[in-house]
Amino acid sequence: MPTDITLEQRLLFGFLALALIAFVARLMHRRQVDLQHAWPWVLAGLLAAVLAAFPAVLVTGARLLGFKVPSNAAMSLAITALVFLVLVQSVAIGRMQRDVRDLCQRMALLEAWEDEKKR
Amino acid sequence: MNGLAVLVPAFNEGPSLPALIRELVAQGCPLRHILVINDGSGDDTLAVARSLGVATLDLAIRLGIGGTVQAGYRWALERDFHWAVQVDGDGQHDPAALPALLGAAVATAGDMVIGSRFVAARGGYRSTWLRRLGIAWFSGLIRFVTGRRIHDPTSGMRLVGRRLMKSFAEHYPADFPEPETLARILAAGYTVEEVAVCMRERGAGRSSIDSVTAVYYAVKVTLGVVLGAVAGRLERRRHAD
Repeated sequence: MPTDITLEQRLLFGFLALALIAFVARLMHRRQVDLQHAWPWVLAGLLAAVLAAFPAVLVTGARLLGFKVPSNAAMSLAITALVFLVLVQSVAIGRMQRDVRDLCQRMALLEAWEDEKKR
Repeated sequence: MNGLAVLVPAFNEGPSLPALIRELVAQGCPLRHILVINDGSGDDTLAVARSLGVATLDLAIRLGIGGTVQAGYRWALERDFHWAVQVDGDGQHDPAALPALLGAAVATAGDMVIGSRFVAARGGYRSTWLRRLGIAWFSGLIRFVTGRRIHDPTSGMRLVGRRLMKSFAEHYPADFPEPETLARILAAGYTVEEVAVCMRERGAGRSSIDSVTAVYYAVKVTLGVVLGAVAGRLERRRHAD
């Protein structure tokens, strides 16, 4: 199994992982995202940082899963995780849309009753 | 109990409303039975509607046609209307057809009466060939999944009774709702009739369907019709049990 992961690659992915964690932390600090929705990205950043620091983890894990090339294992897992995340977010968006619609209609209906009382 | 509520969904239809309201009043609709639902318009739609003396519902954010019409059904239910009919604010739907729609609803005790452009040969505005192709596609699809032929499944001019008002108040698609709701209610066992009407070219404003949204419309509504029919069958089974 090819296992040559260069130092440059480890440094690059380590830097990107830490940048992702820092960016998400900044969004949370500015209250633009809650931990409730941000934790997958924090976890992904931590995992990427660990794999960059200890590439043997990736190599061993890939072998156990039957992958010939560690990067294939990493890509497959990342794509699966992203698909799952997007699906979960679609469900959440749908629920929020229904809630917003209901609130908007209720507000308009209440205002209509108020208008009719005044007339 | 009140008779017929006229629901007028309106997005930037300020120029079209005065003529429409005049025509509705000429057909015998009391002003307080006409509801203009302002769907986040950027023009003076709400001010024009209020100046005409009709009832108004002002949505705080833009919900689209589905959320707007659903709000209208909720309004009509709260005020004990027996029927509610959708008449679009752009002037395409001719109020002169209302007596025929209401007459068919009373005569057949139907849950829904559709003002249809294609039941009989009629004059009036002809939509583009692409729209007619889409209408033919959805008509065939609804027939395939429900066994019932509806000639004009995309017509928004629809009169519904209280049973359907309650159903739509609980669940109504956000966009392009007509074919999807038809598939569901036909599969669920509600009765639907069609009455021939003339449609007119819109008085002002623009269509929500352009070349970009046409693809989304075709895919989304096709899926909606199939899934709507499945939901309708499940609903029928639940009521039978």
